[in-house]
Amino acid sequence: MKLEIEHLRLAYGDVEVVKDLSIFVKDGDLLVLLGPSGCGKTSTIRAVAGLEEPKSGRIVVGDKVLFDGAIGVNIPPNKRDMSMVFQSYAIWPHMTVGQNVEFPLRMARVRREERAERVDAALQLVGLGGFQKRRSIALSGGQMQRVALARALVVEPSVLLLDEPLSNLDAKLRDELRFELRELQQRLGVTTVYVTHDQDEALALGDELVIMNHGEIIQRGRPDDVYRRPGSAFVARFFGTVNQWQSKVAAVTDEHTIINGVGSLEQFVVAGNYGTVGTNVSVSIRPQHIRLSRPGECDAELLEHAVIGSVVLARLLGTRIRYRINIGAGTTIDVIGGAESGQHFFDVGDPVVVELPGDSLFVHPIAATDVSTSEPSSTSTRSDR
Amino acid sequence: MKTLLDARSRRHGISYLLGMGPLLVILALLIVLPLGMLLYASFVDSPPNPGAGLGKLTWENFNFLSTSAGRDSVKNSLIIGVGATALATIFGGSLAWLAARSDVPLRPFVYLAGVLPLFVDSLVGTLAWTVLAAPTSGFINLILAASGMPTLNIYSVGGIVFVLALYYAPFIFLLVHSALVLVDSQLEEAALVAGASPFRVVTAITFPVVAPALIGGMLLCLMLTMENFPVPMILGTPARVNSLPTTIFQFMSSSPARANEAAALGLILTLFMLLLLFGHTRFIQRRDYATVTGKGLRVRRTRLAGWRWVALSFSVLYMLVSVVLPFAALGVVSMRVDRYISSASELLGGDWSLVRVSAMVADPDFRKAAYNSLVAALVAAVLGATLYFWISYVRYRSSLRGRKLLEQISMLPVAMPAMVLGLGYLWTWTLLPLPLYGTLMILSLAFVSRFAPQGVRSVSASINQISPDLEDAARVGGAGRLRSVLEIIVPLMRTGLGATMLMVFILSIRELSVAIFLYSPDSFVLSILVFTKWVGGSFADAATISLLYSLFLLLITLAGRRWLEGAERA
Repeated sequence: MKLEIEHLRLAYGDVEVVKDLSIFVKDGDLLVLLGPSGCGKTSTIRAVAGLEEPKSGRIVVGDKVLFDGAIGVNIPPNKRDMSMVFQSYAIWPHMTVGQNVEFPLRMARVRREERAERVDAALQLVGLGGFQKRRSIALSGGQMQRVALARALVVEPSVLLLDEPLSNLDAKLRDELRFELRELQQRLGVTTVYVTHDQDEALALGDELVIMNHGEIIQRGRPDDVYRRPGSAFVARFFGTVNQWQSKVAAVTDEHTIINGVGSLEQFVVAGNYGTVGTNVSVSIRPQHIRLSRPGECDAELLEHAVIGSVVLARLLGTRIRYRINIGAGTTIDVIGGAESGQHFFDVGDPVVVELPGDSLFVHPIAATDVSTSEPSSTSTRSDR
Repeated sequence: MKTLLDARSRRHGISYLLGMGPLLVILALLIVLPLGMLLYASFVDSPPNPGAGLGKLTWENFNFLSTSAGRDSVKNSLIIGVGATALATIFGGSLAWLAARSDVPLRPFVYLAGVLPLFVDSLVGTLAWTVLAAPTSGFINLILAASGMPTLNIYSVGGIVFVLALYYAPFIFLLVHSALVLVDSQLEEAALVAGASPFRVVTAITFPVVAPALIGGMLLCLMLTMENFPVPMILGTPARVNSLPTTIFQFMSSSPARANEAAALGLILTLFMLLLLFGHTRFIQRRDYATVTGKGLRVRRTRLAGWRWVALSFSVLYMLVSVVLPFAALGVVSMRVDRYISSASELLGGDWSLVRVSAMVADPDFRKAAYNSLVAALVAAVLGATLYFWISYVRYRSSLRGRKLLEQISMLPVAMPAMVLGLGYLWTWTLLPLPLYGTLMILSLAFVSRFAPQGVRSVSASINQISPDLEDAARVGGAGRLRSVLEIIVPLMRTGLGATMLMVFILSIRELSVAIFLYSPDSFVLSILVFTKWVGGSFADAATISLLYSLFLLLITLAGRRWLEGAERA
């Protein structure tokens, strides 16, 4: 069923954690809510589940109004026909696996024989067939996650809410379960809201992505679009690793903007208009978009934004190498290069030509208050929208 | 906007009715009203009895304090409290350090010595010590006299201080021991490496680091010993030494009763408690040692070398004096056929029989008291656990306005001396149009109030160990509030709730001071029976009942622990 959230506001005491948030999820879609911790994403789905009482706004699933601050409707969580998987899984330790999965069916007054069948089917679905009698405290993290999922899916919920369901698992299991989860969600066609702070999950899972910060939506769209075209310095920094610098517009031509460079790089020349001379901008580039070559190997005149640097750090990460390169004036830049044979391999201390292709640069004008945002301690003064 | 406000207040109105409303009424009846009665009675000229009407406002109730008897009772209370606390700190603190941080031989025994006296009721211990050290006939004095040494007199301020210290040292022991176990050994090792001697390490590092626990234990001990009634009553009366609690009792049992003056003294005692509590809170706020929360993986034990056996002897001596000798004395008085012993040589000889013990077991008064104790304590345990759970749940699992107030009210009895609570109950329930006064139920309710601070704290600790997600998951899964509490929270807390019930049960059976103003000829309990036998001069009966009563407590404690361990494993 479709889920609509309109102008949702939620506060703990005087602290407003969700500020006028509106979201629409189509029937059968998976929406990912992505944001740093404390951005209000978990509060949002807890409000959808009925576990937090919003200050105002509306929450509607299908045609049923679950919350409406204006007319005083607030359906309690047990009457919302939803399912939720918690970050801690919330598997009841005093019940067996079967009793855990059966609980929502008992609450819905499903007949005993039918309950047994459906518990069986739900456990089969998550690959835990025959686990009914197991004690739930004897399960591994991955198994607990599957039990939590089976408990959520056993009742065919109107909306499935997932609160960082994979964040307590190790990286390999996380990868595996991420695709299983997506496949299951699409097969069952259940409308899903998935909360995470992990950008890889956001890219792999969602039909739609909403990025939140300080209780507000910063950007929304298809995950790959958001990744390719981050709408603000914050999104560029948060969604995918980037090198990011604060700079100023130095000059403006008809079609280009010239921005003060970093390190020994004098200036960036980028297409488009980013404001008048003196405007504060942030310049970002992803490490994998930076090209490295040996001095003299290429004609420096043909390269864009090229600068000579020296390798400070080189670390092999399986199929790729991560470099940190000093490009002068105390500035370093992170670069990720391929490690396959035939590729160049640079050692610490090697001189290297660093090229920052113009079409890979993200330039975002920033408000004066945004300059300090790279320090997490001062983020409370942010005001970007 | 108006409709929004209406809707919100309507929703809150309902949860208030269900959650806060009954709780506030119950707490008002159980705690606030008795305290209010005491305050009222302190400042008027007639006690709050039915039909008495409002009394006239007066300060005269406090005049007693300016008499020399009044000054003496305040002074004695302070001497008794400070003296007993100092001595208890020496006993409890050194045993705790020996058990937790030294290489004393038989460490488990040293630990046992530290906690065991906790299970001896101070009333029982005191009676036993009168048998051991009464001026001429005390068993110890018989031995001392026979060997030509000066004798002891337990009927003195010194005797009161000594007996209180024996039985309140375990409170300090437990608090300090649990803090010492957690101290990171690296702190001490760093000092050793820096050149400190092992003794300096203990005085300059170990004890300062556990100072919050030590000071907390001392303040608790000071409060408990200052408000203790049976010990100064039994040991002080023959020597004409009065403390605040014993004076309150005498005012209430004089005829006509000087009730308003008793209330005024109760208020003074309560103010002392509040002052101590305030000091404690300030102290805790100013010091917050993160180092004591360490894992304590590797504990470095100080080597006592030649002192090991001295330390062990100290532990053995403490155990002898606090537990072994008192029970031996009660045993002699209860089971020796000829119970008049006039010289040391007669102590172990003579004929022994269980006649008096079995006669006591068959005695209708004893049976009635035992039955009453059991019922009153059981009802208190069940009602108490229910109420404490309800308070903790609303406090920690709801967002109702005023939830912190519930917790604060339930902590008030910490500062209310047991006798003061008893007085407050006496007046509250004779005035209220509920026929509870003189019944066992009133005792149970008084016990529920008396142990609310410990009970709420222990249930809250247990509720806070359960992730709120577990309940939220049940709510989203379709369970209503009550259902999720009954099916998820209560089963998960069964060990914690069971432990709380056991604690309230045992403390209730032992409680004398609250019950002293509330019992009737139909509702007397074991502790009251022991006390009235002693007041009536039947010392041997009091000793025999004490012995049976202690045996009874021991059995219940052991059975309760077994049951809890079983629940833990299930």
